[in-house]
Amino acid sequence: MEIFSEEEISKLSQILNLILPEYNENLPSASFIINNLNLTNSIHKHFVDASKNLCSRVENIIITDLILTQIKKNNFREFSVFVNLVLILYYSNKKVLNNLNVGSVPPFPEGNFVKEGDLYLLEQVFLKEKIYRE
Amino acid sequence: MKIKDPDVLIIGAGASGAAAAWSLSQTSLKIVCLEQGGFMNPEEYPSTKIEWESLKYNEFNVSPNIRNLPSDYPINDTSSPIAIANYNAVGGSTILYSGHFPRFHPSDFRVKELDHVADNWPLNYYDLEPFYNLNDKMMGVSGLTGDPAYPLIEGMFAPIPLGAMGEVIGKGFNKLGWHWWPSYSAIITQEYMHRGKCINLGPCNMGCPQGAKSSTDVTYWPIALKNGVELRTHCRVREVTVDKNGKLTGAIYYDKDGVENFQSAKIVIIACNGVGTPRLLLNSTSKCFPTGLANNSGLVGKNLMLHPLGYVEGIFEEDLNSNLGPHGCCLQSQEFYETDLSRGFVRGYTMQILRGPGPVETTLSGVGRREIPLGMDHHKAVKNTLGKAIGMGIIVEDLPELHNTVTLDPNIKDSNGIPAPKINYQLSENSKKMLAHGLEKGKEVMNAAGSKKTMSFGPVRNTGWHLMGTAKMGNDKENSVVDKYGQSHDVKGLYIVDSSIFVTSGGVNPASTLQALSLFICNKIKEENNL
Repeated sequence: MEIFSEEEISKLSQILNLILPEYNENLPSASFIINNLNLTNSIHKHFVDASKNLCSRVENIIITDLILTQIKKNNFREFSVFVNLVLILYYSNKKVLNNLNVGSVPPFPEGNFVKEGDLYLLEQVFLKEKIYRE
Repeated sequence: MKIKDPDVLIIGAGASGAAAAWSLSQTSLKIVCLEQGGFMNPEEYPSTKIEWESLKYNEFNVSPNIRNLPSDYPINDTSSPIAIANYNAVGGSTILYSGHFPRFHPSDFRVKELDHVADNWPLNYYDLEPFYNLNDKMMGVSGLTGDPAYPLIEGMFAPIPLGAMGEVIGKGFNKLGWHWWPSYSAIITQEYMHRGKCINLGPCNMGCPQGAKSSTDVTYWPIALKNGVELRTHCRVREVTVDKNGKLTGAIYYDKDGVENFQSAKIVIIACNGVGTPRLLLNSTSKCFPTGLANNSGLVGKNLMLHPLGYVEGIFEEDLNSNLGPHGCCLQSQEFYETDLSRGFVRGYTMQILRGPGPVETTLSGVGRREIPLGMDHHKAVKNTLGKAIGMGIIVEDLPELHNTVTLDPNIKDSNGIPAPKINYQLSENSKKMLAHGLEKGKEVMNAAGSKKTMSFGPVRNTGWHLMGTAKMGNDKENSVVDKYGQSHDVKGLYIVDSSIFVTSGGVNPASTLQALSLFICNKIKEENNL
C-alpha cells in the first residue's frame, strides 16, 4: 500500500521544495524524504502523520511561497511540527551529511581528527597563584 | 552461579553501585547487585547509525518519561523548572553522561565554616583524595596537571584535544585574564584496560561504541564480575526490609518476569541516585519506620539539589570544526567558583565549554530561534553556523533547601505498581543571581573570543542530571540520614553510597565525587569487617 496519495505527494513535494530547495547540486531538495521512508522508525512514522495532517489542511493544488506563508500562518503548530521532522530526516541522510562539512559520517569507522590545540596558551593561567580555598 | 545468601546486596549498578561492587569484590564477601536495567550493546549506540542525532528524541532521550523503556520508571517533574534526566542500565547514567569529571574543591566541604551557609561535610577533600585518585585510575581520566584551581592532581592521560575552538575560546579567557583549563574527562586518550582510545566520534552523551568513555559498564563492572559479584539485571527493588525490631533483613524486588522475590542480606548498599534512593526509602515503610526507612530525621527526600544550568552560545566567523570531538569535554573555567560576596551571591559556578551541535540540533534550534531561515537562504545560513558554534554550560552551585523535595506521587506508578517519585523544586534567589552572573560572564568571554553573535538562556529545562542531597550525611542524627561513612543512623548495615548523601552540591559535575565517596565508604566497610 502506498504511504501517500498522489494528491498528498504533489502537495508535499511542493512544500518540501520550498522549505529546503536544492542547493549547488550537492544538497538535494528535501522532497527526497518522501521516497525514503521506513515505517518501522518512529520518527518516520511521525513524519507521515504530520504530513497527512498538514496536507488535509491545505486546499490549494499549486503551492507558491505566498501560499506557503499563508499555510504556516493558519496552521502554525502543525507546520512547526512538520518542519522539525523534515529537518531531522533531511540532516540524517547520508548524501546530505557527506556534502556538509560534518567530518566522518556514522558509523564513524575512522573517527574524526581534532587538533590537539596549543597548550602554551595556558602559560599565563599556569603562572597564576592558586585560586582555590583550602 | 546464583548466590543464595549474599553478605552484601547492592541496589543499582550505576556510577556509585559499580564502584562499591568492585571495591568489595576484592574481599571474600558474597555480593549480589540488583539492577532494573540491562546490559547495553555498544554496537547499537546511536553513533553507529546515520540517524544518530534523531535518536536522542526517543529511545536515547535523557528523560525517562520520554524514553519510557521497560527499565525506566516515571518521574513527575511538572512542579520543577528543571526536568530530571537519568539512564537505567548497567552503568546507569554514566551511559549517557558526557564524561566531564572535575573534582569538588576543598572549600566545597566547608561551606558553613567559610561562607556561613548550609552545613559542613563530616569529611574533607583530603579524606577523599586517595579515593579520587583510585577512582581516576579505575575509570580512566584525561586531563592536565598543574591547574591552579585545584590541589595537585596527577596520573591522568593526556587531555582531550582542545581543537581550533578550544584555542579560540582559550584566547578569549586569556584576554580577560580569567582562569581556564582543559577538561577533566572520564574519556581515555590512550588504550587502557582493554578499552580503545577516544577517536573523537563526538556524541559521547548517547553512549560510546568505542568504549573510550568511562561508563561503569566498561570500567568497574567487567572486573567486579570477574571477581565473582552476581549482577541480576532487569530486577527492580520495591522496598528494603527490616524485621519487627527494625533490624535489616534484605529487599523485595521484581525480576524480569515481574515475579516478586525476597533477597536476604546482612549489608544493603543503596546506589540509586538522589531521586531513586529517597523513592526507595520512602516506599520502604514498616511498623518501625512508618514514614520511610532510615527516616527518623525526617530528611529523606528533602534538600534536593539539581545544579541549575545556564547555556551560552557564540557563533564565530571562522570554521572551527566545533561539532567534532567529545561533545561535553573541551575546557572549563573556575574563575568564579569561590565565594566573592561583591558579586551579590554566595558560592560560585563552573563555566564548561562544550563542542558545537551536530546538523540536526544546529538547524532545529536555528530555525526555532529564527536565526536560520527556511527556503532559498537556508543552506547558506547553515553553512555559516555549523562547525562555527561554541557552547558553554554554566553549572551553578545549588544550596540545600528543605522545600526542594522528592516525595511519592499519589497517582503515578511504574510498570511494577511502585509509586513514582514526585519532584518539587524551585531555584533560590542565590541560584538565580549566580545564574544571571554566569550568563553575563559567559557572553563576555564569547565576545572577547570574537563571537559575532552571542546568545544565552537559563535555567535549561532538560538538564537535571545531578541529583543530590536527599539523604544527607552528617554527624548529628537529628540533622542527617547517614553518618560520615554512609551508614544509616537508624538501621545498622544499611548504607547509601550515591549523591543523595551529598551535604552540598559544589559547582561541578558530581560523578567523580560520588564515586570517590562510594570507594571511601566501602573501604570503611572492609576495615570494620577486617577484610
